[in-house]
Amino acid sequence: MYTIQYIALFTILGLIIYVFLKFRSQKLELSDFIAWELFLVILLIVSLAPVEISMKIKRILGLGRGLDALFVSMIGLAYLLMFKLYLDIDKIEREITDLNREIGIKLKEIEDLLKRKP
Amino acid sequence: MRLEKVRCEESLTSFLTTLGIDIEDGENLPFVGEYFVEFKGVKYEGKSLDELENIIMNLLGTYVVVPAYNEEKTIGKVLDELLEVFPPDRIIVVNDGSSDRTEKIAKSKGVNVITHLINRGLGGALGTGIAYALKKNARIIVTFDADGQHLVEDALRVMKPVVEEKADLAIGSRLKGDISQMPLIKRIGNFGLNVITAFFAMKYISDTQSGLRAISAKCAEKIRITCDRYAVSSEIIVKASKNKCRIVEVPIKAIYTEYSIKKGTNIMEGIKIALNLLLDAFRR
Repeated sequence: MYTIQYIALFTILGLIIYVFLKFRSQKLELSDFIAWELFLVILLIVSLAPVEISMKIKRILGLGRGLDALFVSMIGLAYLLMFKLYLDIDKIEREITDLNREIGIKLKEIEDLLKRKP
Repeated sequence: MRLEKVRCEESLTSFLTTLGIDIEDGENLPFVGEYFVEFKGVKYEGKSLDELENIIMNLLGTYVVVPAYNEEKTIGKVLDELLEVFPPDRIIVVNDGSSDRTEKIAKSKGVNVITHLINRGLGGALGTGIAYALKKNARIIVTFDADGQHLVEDALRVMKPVVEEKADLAIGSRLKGDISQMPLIKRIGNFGLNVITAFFAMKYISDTQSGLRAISAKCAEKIRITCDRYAVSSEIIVKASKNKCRIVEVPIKAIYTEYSIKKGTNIMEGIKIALNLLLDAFRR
């Protein structure tokens, strides 16, 4: 086992516990909890036998050294996640604007009504 | 537009009185003839009494939306100029979370003021202004900048095709008019954004980023602004085009004071606009 595997194992186990604690203190929803734990377990498996797994990937995908294929797929997944986050944030921004609009217009309508009945 | 008192041709006095309009003599009043309304050098023409009535109703039902974010230095003067032509009830200032005296100044002029508690950007402010105008049954909505970049006479010119019902969206184009004062970098940037917008709208508009527009209520109802910052200028054109609204351009003069050059679109915003138009496909 390489040193980096020990570091990875230690970090991932730490994260698995951290995510569980967040779920327990209700800062995380059930579906998100399961999704993240699944993701971490996969990372765990990969870090236990990275070379063997990347060899398998290399045979399937045919990219350079096996480890490269691993890096590339991890990076690809990270980009997908970022894109999804971007869409989520964009949706939230628009919801905030809609709120501001509703509040602004409702307040104005109330003001108008008040002015009409002094 | 202020049409409570007008000058007119003899033949139209009874017609105008039935509409509740007073006939008076005054140099600065609008003039109504067969079959047109003329004010400040802009003539809104029709071919019949019915069309004239339509023009008058359109003018009476025109609302001006002025989005404003921290414009205390210019909003007072801009509103004073608008109030020479439009009654206070037809002007809607959208205070986009300003931290200065913009709201106070606008309210002191007696116009409609809607406030966003948090700054949402030009798109957000325009969306709110247009939504409120439609609630008040506006027939035509004019968008006008609060930084002193626009002339009221140009607003009247831009309104003309929409008032005469020859177009649904009229854009004041600075490039078709007097561009002597426009800095070169802005001209290049504008051209780039025009090309990108044209790709999505399938129509080339020479000044997509212009803030001076006139939209018919019908067209405004069809456009759902998804609240972007400066990208809204291109978005309005793209969505109007997709909804088969007739778009025309009207030449206007661009006034570039040192103040207004600092605000407004720049290269970073341009890139964001392009990305925004692309992402629209992923929304909803």
